[in-house]
Amino acid sequence: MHQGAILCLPVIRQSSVIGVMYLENRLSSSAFTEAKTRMTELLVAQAAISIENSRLVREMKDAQEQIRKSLREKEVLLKEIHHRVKNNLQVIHSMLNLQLPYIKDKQALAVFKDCQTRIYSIALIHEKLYQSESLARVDLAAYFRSLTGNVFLSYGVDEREVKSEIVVEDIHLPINSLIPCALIVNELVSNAIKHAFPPDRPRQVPGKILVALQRGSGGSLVLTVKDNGVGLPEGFDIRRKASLGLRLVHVLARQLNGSLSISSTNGSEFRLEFESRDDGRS
Amino acid sequence: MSAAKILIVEDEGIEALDTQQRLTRLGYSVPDIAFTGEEAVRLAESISPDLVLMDIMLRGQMGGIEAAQEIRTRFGIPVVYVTAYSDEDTLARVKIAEPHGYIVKPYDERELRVAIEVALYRHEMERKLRESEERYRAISEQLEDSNRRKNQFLAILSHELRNPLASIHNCLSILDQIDPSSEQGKRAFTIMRRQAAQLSRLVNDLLDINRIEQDKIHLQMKRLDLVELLRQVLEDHRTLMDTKGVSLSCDLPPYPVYLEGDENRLTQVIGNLLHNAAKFVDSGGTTHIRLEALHTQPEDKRRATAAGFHRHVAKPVDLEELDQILAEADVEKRETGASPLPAGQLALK
Repeated sequence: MHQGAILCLPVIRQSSVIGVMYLENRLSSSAFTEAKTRMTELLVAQAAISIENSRLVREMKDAQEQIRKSLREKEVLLKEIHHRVKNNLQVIHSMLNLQLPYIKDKQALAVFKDCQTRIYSIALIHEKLYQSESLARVDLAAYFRSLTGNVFLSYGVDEREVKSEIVVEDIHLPINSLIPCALIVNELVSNAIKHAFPPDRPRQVPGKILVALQRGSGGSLVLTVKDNGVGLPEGFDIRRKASLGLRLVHVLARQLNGSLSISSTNGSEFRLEFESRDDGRS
Repeated sequence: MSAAKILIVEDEGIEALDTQQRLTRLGYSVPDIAFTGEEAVRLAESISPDLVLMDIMLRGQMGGIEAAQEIRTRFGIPVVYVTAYSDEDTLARVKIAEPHGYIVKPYDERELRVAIEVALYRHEMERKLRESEERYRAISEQLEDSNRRKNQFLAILSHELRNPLASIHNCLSILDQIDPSSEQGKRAFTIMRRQAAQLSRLVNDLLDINRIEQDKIHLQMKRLDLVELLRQVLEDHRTLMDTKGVSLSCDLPPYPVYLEGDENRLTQVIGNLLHNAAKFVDSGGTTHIRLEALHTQPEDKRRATAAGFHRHVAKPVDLEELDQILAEADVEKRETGASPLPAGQLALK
């Protein structure tokens, strides 16, 4: 005759059996009274919840790790893309450089140089983007400094004769506004270098080109490019008969939905006031 | 190729400048560039271009497809879509908006030109189709209207034809029962004769209308005296007027009024008018006929006369009915008047 008692209970979580609780007593056949059985049932239910919780936590941690990993991969990829775009533009820039000695025509040479600075100003954005920590935020002061430096270099301007000054407040520009702004600055600085300080007109004071990005009234931004040169020709109209560079400035200003004001007292001043749109598209 | 006016919608300014330059080189005029959907709608209204070249991936609140649909429905300007994407999803969205054309970037000038020309041609064809549809709708409405008038006329006519027939029918029933040679029988024959005459008069009139409509009426023109003619017609109808209790008065000039005309037709016209008068003027009323010579110029005898008919209708209710019939009489007269009859132009009141 068999002595003792057995209690067997399923461990159930969300209507599926995830385990079995097995209790055995060899001494008493009445070890598991009804009250004790009910008590054990409650303990088993608690155990089921605990088991499920620890499983969920583990899953969550795995998922988080997965996401972190994929984010790291994306960051590397984005960096790589910016790097490659920059490199490709750099290659185009270099090809144009290689071509330069073959150009005899002065006008064609000038057009080539204009193209080079334009390409370089975009390449520079991608360089600054992959160097930045967030991959979306560019140190604008450093960017404008490099940009202006390159334009000076490209047109062979001696920094002792013409000085540049960069004034940038702590402003973040989404890439939507960044590229048009960069191209505008490139065109206006190039324009100032080409026309504001003609060599046949000696100056008392050294030449100066100011590039500034500041906050205006009511949340708008103000981009200013100003020089102390000879100023704009009489009856200048950016919409009519302007150079390609200034036509680009005009159309990019419209693209930014900004208002461009131009004045010509003690040199020339281009002032663009615009709202920085950040609608998530880049 | 005429210089079609094109509006460019593109949120990349430099690309837009490039497209503008290419279109200008192809001979189109590009007065402006829109950078957003809202601006596109505004400029489409203010410069009313012949075609809109629309980048459908626009930044801002209003997308390119939405702007294109508004431009199409509000101003009826055709839109050609430009996009860098040619994936299934974009194509599906594009199809719904029914563009006049679709170009995928990057495109060369030939593709651009073909897309624009096809779109302009398609738009022109659609416009012509719409116009001809409208024209045919107008014609069909006209036809329906004249059909309705004809039916109305037929209804009146049937009524007119049935009345004498009913009389003849009645008389025949009576003659079945009585001696035809009796006094009552003779009266029945007289009625039948009169009603048969009335019927043949109606049928003759109907045939005349038919001939007029088919332009087959032959007028036998000859020089005649309208005063004499009127006098005869009046004499013929005096009995009719007397029996209806309508007094007939006339005011004819004391000298003959000559004109070129068809004696039978003129008699018919005046006779019909008098019949109408007898029919619609209440007993005790008056029908007055006046003939006077206006613009009497010896070198132009055709313009010698005009006749005025005055009638007094007691019941205003009858006026509408009268107008209806007079309108028909008027048509008849105008048709007849195509002959050298304007002299006999009849003024009706």
